[in-house]
Amino acid sequence: MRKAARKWKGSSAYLYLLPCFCVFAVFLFYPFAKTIYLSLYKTNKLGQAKLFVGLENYKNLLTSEAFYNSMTVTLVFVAIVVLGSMLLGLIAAVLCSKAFPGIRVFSTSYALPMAIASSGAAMIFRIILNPTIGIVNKLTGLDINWISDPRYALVCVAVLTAWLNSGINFLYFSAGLGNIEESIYERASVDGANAVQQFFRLTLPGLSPILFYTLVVNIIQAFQSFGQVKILTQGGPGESTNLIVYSIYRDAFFNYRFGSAAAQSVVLFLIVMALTLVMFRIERKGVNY
Amino acid sequence: MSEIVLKNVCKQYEKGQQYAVQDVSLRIGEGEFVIFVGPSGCGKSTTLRMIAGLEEISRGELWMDGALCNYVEPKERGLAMVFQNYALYPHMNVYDNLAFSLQIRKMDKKEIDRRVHEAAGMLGIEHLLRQRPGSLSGGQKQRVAIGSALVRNVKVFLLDEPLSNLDAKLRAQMRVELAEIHRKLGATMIYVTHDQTEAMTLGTKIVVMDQGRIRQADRPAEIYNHPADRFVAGFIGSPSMNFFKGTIRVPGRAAFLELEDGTMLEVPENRAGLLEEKYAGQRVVLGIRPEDLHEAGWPGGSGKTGHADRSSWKLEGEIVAREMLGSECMLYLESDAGDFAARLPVAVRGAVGEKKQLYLDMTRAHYFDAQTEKNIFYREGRDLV
Repeated sequence: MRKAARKWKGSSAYLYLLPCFCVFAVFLFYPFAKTIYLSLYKTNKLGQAKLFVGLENYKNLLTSEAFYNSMTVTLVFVAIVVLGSMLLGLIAAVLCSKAFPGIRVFSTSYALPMAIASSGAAMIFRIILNPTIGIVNKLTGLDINWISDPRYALVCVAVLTAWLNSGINFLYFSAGLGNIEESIYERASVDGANAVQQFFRLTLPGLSPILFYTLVVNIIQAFQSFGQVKILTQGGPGESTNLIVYSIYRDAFFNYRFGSAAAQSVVLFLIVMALTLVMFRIERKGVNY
Repeated sequence: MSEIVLKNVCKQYEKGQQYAVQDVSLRIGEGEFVIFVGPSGCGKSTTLRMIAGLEEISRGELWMDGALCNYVEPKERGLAMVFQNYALYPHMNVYDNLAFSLQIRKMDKKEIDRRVHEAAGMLGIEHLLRQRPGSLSGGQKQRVAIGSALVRNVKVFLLDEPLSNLDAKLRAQMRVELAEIHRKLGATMIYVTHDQTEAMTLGTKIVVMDQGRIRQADRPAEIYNHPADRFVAGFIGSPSMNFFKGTIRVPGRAAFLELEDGTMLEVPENRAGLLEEKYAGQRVVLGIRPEDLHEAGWPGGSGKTGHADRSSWKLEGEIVAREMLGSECMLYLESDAGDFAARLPVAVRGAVGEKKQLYLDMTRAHYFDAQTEKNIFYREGRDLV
């Protein structure tokens, strides 16, 4: 009797998890499993698995130049976005860490990109970067077709994404700065440290736990960018902005090659997971205090 | 030579608001141990932070070694400061915390190492050098904070309530160590505290502040024996001084102080002159420390000193509390003249609820003007007598 009660008590925990599990099952676990399943098949135009091909989808991927191109483009894109968005967020947060008149206006505008939809921002950038009426060319006096030139298109999309992602970074860093005790700066200034020394010896180490967390989130977020590419460049010109997520979308919904798209999804998943694991391994070694 | 002079220093955080510090003028000589003491919010920490350069001086002048220092950056002032919450760098170990101020000056590594070990040895924290502040106890953190000030080898140390986060026993121990460090280094120390025991035991000069102003600045014994006004008298000394409102009466040849319950206390000769002359018929406040109340039979408890009749110096009250202090005993009494406390030998009789007659040693009493609250017999740092 008592044993049964204890057993019930132990398993009742799962009952509380059930609602959450149901939601995850429908929107996460099932699609995930289905993706892996699809990646092993050739499909018809409705996306139904028709012919089991084993690892052939993967084999095709790893021998296709387009896939390698889209991997390279994605890595360059991620590097620019992560670096850019973290720097923007950090600089904005440091600027707003001291109280001054109008600080609310500034901090709101630095955090604002968070609230803008990526497709909306891309529409605005299309106007800004327009070669004839865009403000960028007007102000700089240049005559560059930003979006249609393969040399600049990727950078444009990356800068847009960096700005979009900087809002949430600003929030993270502001919170992190708020956690650093004010008095250690006072002691440092009496001790003789100048502003640069204070930033590198106190602020950055003080932010290190949150810097790491932000880095992980940013990398994952950058890998998954889609909306801005869809609106701004559609992967072009040529294949120059064909990020992996966009390539997945194109394979699945334009070319109806669901098997190949699924295989790319799995590869993307593996890359992001591997990166995350590696970074957590590094974190355990030295970021904390 | 490291003299610090404050001339009419004021601090106002926002225009139109009340002054946090007002007209503070003070000369701090080399090697002095100056204690700023006062209730919280009296401006003592603000004054210290203005000396450190962490707060801007709104008005007035700060001179250090003969140079005007109002606008000199904190790091150029050649001071070391210990903060109330220790302000240790959380991501550095104790060694780096101690060495930080030297490292940023790009000092020779060997010299840094020598100084760090010297300071750590002095404070007994050598075994902690590899630890992070997070794993230290309050007392250890305190030592690290003091150590990181010591390594600087400066002439002036600023300490902002450094012992307030420690427990009583540790505080007493650190007090002794601080006094020893001061003796060894011979540096100027400026120390802020709200604890008058620290002030009395450590300081060579005590600066009593209230509401942003200096009430009195003098040697500890002078502050205790000759307080400038009622505030200083009440703030320094524990338990604090008893105050009785009264009126000076000169019925005949002798002067008397009439308390509110009608008790007439004859004023001793050395005090009578000025009181007769200027305060006859006027209200004054009598201040007397708990240890200056005695039982009948204390040496000279009856009879006369000069023409004053000691037998008139008695006051009766009802005992409301009795505290045993070990070597002595505190009685708290209520009377129509006002409540008062007395520090008496342990053998004293009297239980709570009983009436008790005590004698006031009027030769050691203080007289304050009822309006200005100034000590009537206080002039320019010394009593008239």
